[in-house]
Amino acid sequence: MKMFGRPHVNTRLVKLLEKKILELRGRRSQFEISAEAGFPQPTMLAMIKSGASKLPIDRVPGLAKALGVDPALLLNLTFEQTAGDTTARAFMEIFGTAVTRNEVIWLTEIREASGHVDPTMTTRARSAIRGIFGK
Amino acid sequence: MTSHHHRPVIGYLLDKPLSGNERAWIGFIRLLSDNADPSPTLATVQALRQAFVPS
Repeated sequence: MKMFGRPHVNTRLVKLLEKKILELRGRRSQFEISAEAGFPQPTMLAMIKSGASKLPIDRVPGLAKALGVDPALLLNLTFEQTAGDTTARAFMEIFGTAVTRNEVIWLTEIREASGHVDPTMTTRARSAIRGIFGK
Repeated sequence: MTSHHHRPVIGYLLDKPLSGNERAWIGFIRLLSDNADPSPTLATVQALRQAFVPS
């Protein structure tokens, strides 16, 4: 459900922001994170966190660094916020999803463990991954 | 759709492009980890290898 005046409140990017800013509490204030990310107005990060505004794509690298998250993860979540935006859609059509450094390691492990056979997500594979995450 | 549509965009290059199956793997990992971007541990690597041992 989209709340009036906060159209992006239920996006995964907002959830990630809330989590990371909470984790950084005591070490860096939201104001400091905002400045480090390069937002011209300190209130901009608060508006994004509240779901009132989208994260501009040109702020992804700076905010990712300020939060200590992989920029590819933040870019994907930013594109989710811009669903319907033709620029974002064109970008995703051309380049596909952005993978994080950790995901590259996962993919390398999957390729090696499977003997480079491009394995499908079988029931057994799903069970293995669920087991890894305790779900 | 050709494979070049699935290459990564931010500097982390694989030795070959992502396949459709690999996109499914990554999607499943993202779902289960709630986008926490976890790094594989020794235990996870062992579990993965076990999953591919012929039964």
